[in-house]
Amino acid sequence: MDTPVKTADWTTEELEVLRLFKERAPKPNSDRNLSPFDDRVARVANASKSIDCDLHEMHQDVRQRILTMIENVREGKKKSQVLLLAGAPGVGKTHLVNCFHPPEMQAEHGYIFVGGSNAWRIEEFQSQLLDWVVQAVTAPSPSDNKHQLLLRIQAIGFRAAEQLLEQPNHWKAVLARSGGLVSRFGPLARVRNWFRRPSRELLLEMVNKRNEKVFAYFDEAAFSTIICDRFLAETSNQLHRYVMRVLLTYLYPDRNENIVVSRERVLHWLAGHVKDDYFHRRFGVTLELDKKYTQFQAVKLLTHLFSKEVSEALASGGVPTKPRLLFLTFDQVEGRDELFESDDDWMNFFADLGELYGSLSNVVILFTMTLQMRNRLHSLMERQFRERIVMDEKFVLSFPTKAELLGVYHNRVADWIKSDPDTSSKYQAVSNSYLPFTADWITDHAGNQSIRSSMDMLDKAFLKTLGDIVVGPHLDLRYAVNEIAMEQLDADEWNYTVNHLDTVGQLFDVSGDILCNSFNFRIQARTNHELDGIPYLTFRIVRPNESASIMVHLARIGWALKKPLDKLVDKLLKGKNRDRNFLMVVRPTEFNYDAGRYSELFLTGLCPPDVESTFRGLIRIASNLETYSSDPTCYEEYHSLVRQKIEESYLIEFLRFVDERMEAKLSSSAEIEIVEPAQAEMEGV
Amino acid sequence: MSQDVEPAALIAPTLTPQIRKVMSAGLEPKTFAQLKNALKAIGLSTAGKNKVADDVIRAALQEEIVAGNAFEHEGKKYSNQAPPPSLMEQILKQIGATEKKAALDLTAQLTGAPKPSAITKALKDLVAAGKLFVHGSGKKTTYTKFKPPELPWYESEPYQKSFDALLKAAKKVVDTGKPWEEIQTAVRQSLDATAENTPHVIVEPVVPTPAIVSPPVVPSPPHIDLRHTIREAYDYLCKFVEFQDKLVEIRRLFYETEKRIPGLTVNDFHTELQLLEKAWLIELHEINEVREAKDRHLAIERDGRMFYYLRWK
Repeated sequence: MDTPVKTADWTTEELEVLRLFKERAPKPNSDRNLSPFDDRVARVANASKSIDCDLHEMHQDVRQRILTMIENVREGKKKSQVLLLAGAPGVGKTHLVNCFHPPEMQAEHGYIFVGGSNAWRIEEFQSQLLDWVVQAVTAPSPSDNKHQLLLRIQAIGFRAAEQLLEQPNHWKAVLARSGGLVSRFGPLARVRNWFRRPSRELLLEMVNKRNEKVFAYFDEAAFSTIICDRFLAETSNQLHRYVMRVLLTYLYPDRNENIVVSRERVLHWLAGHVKDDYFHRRFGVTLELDKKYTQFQAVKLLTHLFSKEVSEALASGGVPTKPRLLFLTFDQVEGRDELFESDDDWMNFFADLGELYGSLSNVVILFTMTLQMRNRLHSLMERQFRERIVMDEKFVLSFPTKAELLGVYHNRVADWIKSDPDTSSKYQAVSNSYLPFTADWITDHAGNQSIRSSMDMLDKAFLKTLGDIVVGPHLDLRYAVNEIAMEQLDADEWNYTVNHLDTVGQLFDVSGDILCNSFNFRIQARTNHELDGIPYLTFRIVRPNESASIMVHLARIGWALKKPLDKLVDKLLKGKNRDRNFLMVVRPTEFNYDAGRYSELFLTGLCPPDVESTFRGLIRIASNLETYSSDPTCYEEYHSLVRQKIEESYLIEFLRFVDERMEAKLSSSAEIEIVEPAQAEMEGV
Repeated sequence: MSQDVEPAALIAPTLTPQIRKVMSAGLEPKTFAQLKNALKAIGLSTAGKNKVADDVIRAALQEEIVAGNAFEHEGKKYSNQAPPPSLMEQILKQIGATEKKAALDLTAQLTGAPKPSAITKALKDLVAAGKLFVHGSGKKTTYTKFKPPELPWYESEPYQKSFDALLKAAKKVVDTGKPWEEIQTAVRQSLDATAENTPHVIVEPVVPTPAIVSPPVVPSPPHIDLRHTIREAYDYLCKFVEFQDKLVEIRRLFYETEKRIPGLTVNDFHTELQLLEKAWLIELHEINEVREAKDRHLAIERDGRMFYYLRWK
């Protein structure tokens, strides 16, 4: 990836903004750097998170077409429709679907968004669909006092009450009677009831004020029967009547229960989670939504309650009740998360869905599919949804235009820094709002491709470019370490540290002076070796102004332990001068090894991935040394940082080990002891 | 002069219903004499004291033509049906603004079964009038409403063949790995020697210029023709139901382009597509279900992704 703009081309103000960007990138409490493009489009836009940072103009024509279709179907100008939104991976299908998620949008355009995850099997379709519909009509929460279903049931109740009260005497037959009192106290109770019964005016006033307590004056069973007769599409369908009766318990909460508990009981029953006989005791009849057929009927009933027909019946006194359309979305995630594995499953699914679709007037079904999948399934769908699949080239999504891409770029950056007024104002002040790139660079390198690919490309380029900005040793190191760790996210500890000794060698190259500074020795020579595939470094160590030297080896071993270690000891320690040859072995995970009589000459250490990343990070920021040197404080900070990181790793033990052995070598006046192999064997080494 | 004779302009409107009636009697256009006879047959006096003069009938006919109720056909015939479009009009109508059509393709759509010579004449007249342009030659001749692209000198006669040969030779020389300066000097020396014994006119086309021997010795490929042909193939494919959403499989596009440019290589095709993509003229869409891809060698593989579909912006 070529660098978009050279550091020297940035103005001081731009450089300052880029430094602020870099400071912002490392995510708190995490080992990741985040760019404004880290969130791919689809993940940004969901019901719980704002999509303000994305461009509303993107795919605007498609959004508008869908909204128009929703309006036409909702108003009865068209029959239920099926939409196939196709496009290459990452082109923005899921994002577009999620654009229809916000509750404000649903309210404004009169639809209810129904959809969820793809983690279900074809056998579970009906129960899954019922769950989705219940969840959608009770959004944002079933305990909310203003969810769609509750409002709709109340509207139905009030309208039914209004209709009852329009007739002078009819309402009297529906009034609740205190049956228990009458049976216990006989005529006295009747007299009491007579005086306590409400007047028509009182009931009308309560209805007009939408006072929910009015329902308590009506007999639940009789009132429910009236509602079923007036508002159900299939009045003779006993299953619909039962479901409606259950829903009407919203108006008649159990006196012995909290109102929220009563409402939740309804939803639990709809979800098929209630196995007790509560409604049997209450209504005298039992019905459970445990079969595909019953679940499907419940979905149909719930959908019907929001239809234009019911809405028109509810409109009274100049208070229109808007119809709502059910916008069923089936968003197919690409690849292995595909909803079904075989075309037979798809066929069954379309058949099930076709039944719902054929019998309801207020449904728009939207499928998102990859192009290949659309081509494969289109013929199957046509069989079920004859001539109702809307075919339009607009529904095959295009890539963003240049202006859209630049708009998204700008919005993303602005959104990324919005919590930091200082950075925001400085960013607004610079003339190039596409920092660290230029508009042309963005369109040339990240344009004319799917939005996900664009974001992916910009994410990498943004982070890479910021990596070259020098801020200060601590931040630069943290940034570099995060980047390095991200580069090898999939590597395990063995693979990640396989070239650890090369890293150590480079670290000594760039920071050897700082490493050895605290000690009184110097590395005269460093050589790379390999013993049967085991790499090791050999350091020739000398003390200034002294001629004596020692040889210290540093080896890194992998998973296999005993055999490589034996070989290393044999080769590097056995038969060598005991005060001149030493060995340290490191490994990504802990290990024990008994080196026997060589244990004094032998040391072990750990080189886990984080140590490897830190070393690589130190190497990377060493290239900034010239910049750090221009500021004494910064230069000192860099030195102290390197020392600190070394002290946190096994390398400090290595250096101390070297120092001690050097000291011992110089102070020792004893003759050089040579361990003969034969002698060693006799001693059981 | 008798004052009883009314001016033709005053009588003309009174004849209008009779003329309409006569014209509606048959679909075939009628000459003036046939029209007059027909009028006589329905009771119009054309002789004697009350005769209606020819001028009067002509004036009434003219009124009808102006009003759009009657039309003048070829051979001074008249009818109430508009005359069919002329051959030239039909041809112009058939060729879209960006389309290329061969004479044979046009013939099938023409009404009135015109003779091939008439079609050729009409095409020639249209070309002469600057309404159509000729592309290609011989059997590959096509007609368009846009001018053929101006080819660079090395792609047009009489230099094309010589230039191709030179290009081939130059590639071989480049492969020797000699420095450009050395090659340039050698070519110049050789040409100078040849020029001494060769008439200037013949040498002129192959006189080496810095453009030929300098590093970009291979001129940019002739994109314009291939590009137009790809577009032509794309437009053709978009007429199929399976590509009604204007998203075409690259492999199908290759086959369709290859039909128009025999010998087209996949490499040239891909290179052109990538140039088009870079120019934001097309979108290349990837396939997610790579296992289902057909003719994978015709798709464009890049960055671990397979681009399988194309859409012209």
